Amino acid sequence: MTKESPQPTDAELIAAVLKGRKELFGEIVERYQGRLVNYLFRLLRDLAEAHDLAQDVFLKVYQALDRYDPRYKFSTWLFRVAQNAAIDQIRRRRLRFASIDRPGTEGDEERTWEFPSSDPSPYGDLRNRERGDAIQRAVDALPWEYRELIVLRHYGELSYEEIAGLKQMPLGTVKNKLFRGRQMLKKTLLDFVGD
Amino acid sequence: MSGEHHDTFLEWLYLEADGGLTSGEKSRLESHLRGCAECREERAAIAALSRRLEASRVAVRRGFRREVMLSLPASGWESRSPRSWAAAAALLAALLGGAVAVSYATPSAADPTVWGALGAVLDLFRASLLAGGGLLTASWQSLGAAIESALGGSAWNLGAFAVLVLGLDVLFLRLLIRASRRTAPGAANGRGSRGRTAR
Repeated sequence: MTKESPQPTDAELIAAVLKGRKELFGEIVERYQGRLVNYLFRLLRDLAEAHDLAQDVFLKVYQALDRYDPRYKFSTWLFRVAQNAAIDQIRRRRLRFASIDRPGTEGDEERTWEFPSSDPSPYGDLRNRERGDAIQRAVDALPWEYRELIVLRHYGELSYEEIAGLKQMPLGTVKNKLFRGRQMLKKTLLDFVGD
Repeated sequence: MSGEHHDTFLEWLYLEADGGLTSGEKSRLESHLRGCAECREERAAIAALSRRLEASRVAVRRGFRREVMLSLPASGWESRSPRSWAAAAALLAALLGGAVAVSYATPSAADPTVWGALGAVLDLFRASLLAGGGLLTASWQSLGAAIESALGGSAWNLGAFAVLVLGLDVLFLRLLIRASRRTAPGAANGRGSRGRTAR
């Protein structure tokens, strides 16, 4: 049996990039691209825009890489930059989107989210689309303070500790808010959760 | 079973879904679940919710990593990196080496020692600095003369010029503050600018 070499940590990769191995930044992109795009997509509700903004975030982080302090988690920094970029983006288009706290208000765009289906029938596709839409609406309907944490946890895949670091909240508050947020979400999605 | 106790276990069910329970808490939860149908139902509902959320994740578009890597700009820190310093140091060492070699090879050199060569290089630097300083002073003097002739000695013109300079200072300061906020990882602002350079 071959012994696999351990994956380098984020801090090790960054140190190598700073020493001139620019190509290793690709490993960091690979590591975080899915989480970042999903996080931004849930906040922006536009997949192309989420990709564009994720790219911007990676570029901003790269440009400031020499100021990264390895005592802190890289993910916390990355998602903080992403969070601020998303808030700016939402503000920029607030003429189209009435409010981030009141989704579905006038000017909001209706979008449909599709999910992989094991059911090949048209009914299966329709059901998946309805589910995706329902999840998005349920997430959107959460008050911002809960929505933000739910998105960070489930789409950004951050740990409680990382979220606490990012939001500068006590760990207990993060746990409590996530508990409440998910209860609200579950209540809204009750029709789908049981089946 | 008290209501408070049940609520605690209810909260633990969510923590369990995130792998946030210790092994001791896990076994206490398991024994509670054996006797609590409501919690078992809640656990199934939480698992279903997690599955739904997971299934709603989107895929990253193909070639995204490559797009990012191709659009990476030349960053400020690259010019400050040890590699760049090493290149500059190597160039300086080569220049010094060359100066020493030239100094030894020249028969008319007054002091054909290493110190003599270093002294020659220092003299060269000093001369460059003096020439540069002279040019700079001359430029500023001519700029001052141009401004003086434009203002024509009028107190109003002088006042307007002072306001203009002050305004430019304030603008420059604000731009500096904004730029430092935008890139500071501690504040992790990242607001405002759109850094895409290629697509």
